[in-house]
Amino acid sequence: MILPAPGVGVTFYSGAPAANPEVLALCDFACIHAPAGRQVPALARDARAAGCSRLWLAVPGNYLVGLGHRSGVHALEAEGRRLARAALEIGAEVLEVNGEGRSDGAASRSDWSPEDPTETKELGTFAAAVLGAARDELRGHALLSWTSHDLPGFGLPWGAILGRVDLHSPQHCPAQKGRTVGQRELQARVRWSRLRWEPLVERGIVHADFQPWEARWSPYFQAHGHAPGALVWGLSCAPVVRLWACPGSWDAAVALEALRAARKLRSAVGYDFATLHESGKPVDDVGYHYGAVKRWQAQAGLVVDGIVGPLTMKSLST
Amino acid sequence: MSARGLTLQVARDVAHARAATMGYELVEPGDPRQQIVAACVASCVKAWSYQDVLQRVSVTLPGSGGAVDALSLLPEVGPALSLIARVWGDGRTQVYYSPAAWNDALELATTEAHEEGHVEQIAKAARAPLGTLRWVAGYLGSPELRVGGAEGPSYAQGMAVQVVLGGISPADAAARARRALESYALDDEGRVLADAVVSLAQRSLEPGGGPYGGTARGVLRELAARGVEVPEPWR
Repeated sequence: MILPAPGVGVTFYSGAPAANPEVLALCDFACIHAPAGRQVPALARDARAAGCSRLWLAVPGNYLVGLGHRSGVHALEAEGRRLARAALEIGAEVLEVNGEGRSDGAASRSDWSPEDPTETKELGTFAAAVLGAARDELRGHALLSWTSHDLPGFGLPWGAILGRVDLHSPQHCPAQKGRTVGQRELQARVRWSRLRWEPLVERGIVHADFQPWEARWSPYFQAHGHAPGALVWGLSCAPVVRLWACPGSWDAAVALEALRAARKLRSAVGYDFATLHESGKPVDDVGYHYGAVKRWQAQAGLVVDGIVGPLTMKSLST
Repeated sequence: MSARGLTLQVARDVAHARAATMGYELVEPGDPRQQIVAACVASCVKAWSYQDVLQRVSVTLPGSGGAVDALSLLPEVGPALSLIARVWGDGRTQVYYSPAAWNDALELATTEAHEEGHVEQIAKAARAPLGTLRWVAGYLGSPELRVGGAEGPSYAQGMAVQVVLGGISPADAAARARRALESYALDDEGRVLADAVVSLAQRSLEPGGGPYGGTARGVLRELAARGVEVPEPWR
């Protein structure tokens, strides 16, 4: 199994990473979210010039469904190879396909949200074509990832998709307009997501490594609508984590505070261990992991409850 | 409308089989311990009368270790509850089924999924140092933990049985769960968390959502193995 080096990343959507130097300075890697076109090399050059050497290329992938309908699997294979070459051209360590459906989870013929088993099967053919070709073209020089919503869209052909990628970055997205999501609610969302994967894992459709807290899980969190403590927890719950999306869907004050605190925490105590981590550390009361937040709290002489409250945030900001 | 093949006897057989598999003590209505437990619970939850609890509330009690120590700290009722766990049990977690659950097939299957959720939570907590002590203390002391770490996930498991076997709509199952959770002395944060967990379960149970893991799936599979009609994704 080959995985990316641990790190915290930020997705830059509709904007140049280099235009956000303060954010870039807090990232281990920058994820450029853009169609694989001529602007990508320029964005990559600028990010590198600004000091960020590790890049991901994330391409919006809904158009691939339309391409499959119009032109068939050979066109998708060609497109998969083209996407891979775009990632290799900029030296990206990961090529990610963003195959999400509508944000309300409703089915549509023009994206990755199937209406029925027939469409699921068809999307499986499309995914196999584009991801298989991309993987062949990458030849191990870059990894392949998939991202989409964490809860709806479970009618997706997950076997065809996750059988061909190295990483899965589910978008754990509880934030809604008008209220702030706390850590326990974000945790509940991620735990629920794990429950949703279990039947697919039991049936052998998806490898267990793609479940939350396992090796191929790379959680993806909203950098808005959360309490900073919730994001600090999120950014410390896995080796490779990411926030979206700067500058559009982005609460700068919360995101920067969380990024600074999470970097300090991760540099001191790392990130959450999986249940059976070779360290032999005990699992926590959730049963899935031994939390980095708790290790930080223990080290800082705080009450060890795993919640990034005001005192823990203060300890991470000094 | 309940699923074909779901009889009271089948539901009771499944409850006994699951208790043996999961290693908890199933306490049927009529056991003398139940009256003591009901009295203790009624004195802790002011919204419930003794008769309400005795007839309608099923209860899971941790059976050993630090959890029992934590129970003993409860004002007034702690000594009685810890005595039951220490002296009248064999160290296993105890699940007390209410008559209302024990005498209705769908209600029993729903309650199995719910209470077994607590059995799993206690077993997981026990894997950490002082884990059960902390779990019980959290349950008793923090509405957020009571909802997020215990009752919310358990009600989500019961919702699955109600929808899959009972033909109840996900929205109605969610509304029932929200009403039930209100009786757990929630504060504002606990209420937000309860709503979030129930909403996640509701969305998952709506068409296209697909099954989710946990004790409900175990109960449904066991029922299917005994001839109850369970939709394929949940078997």
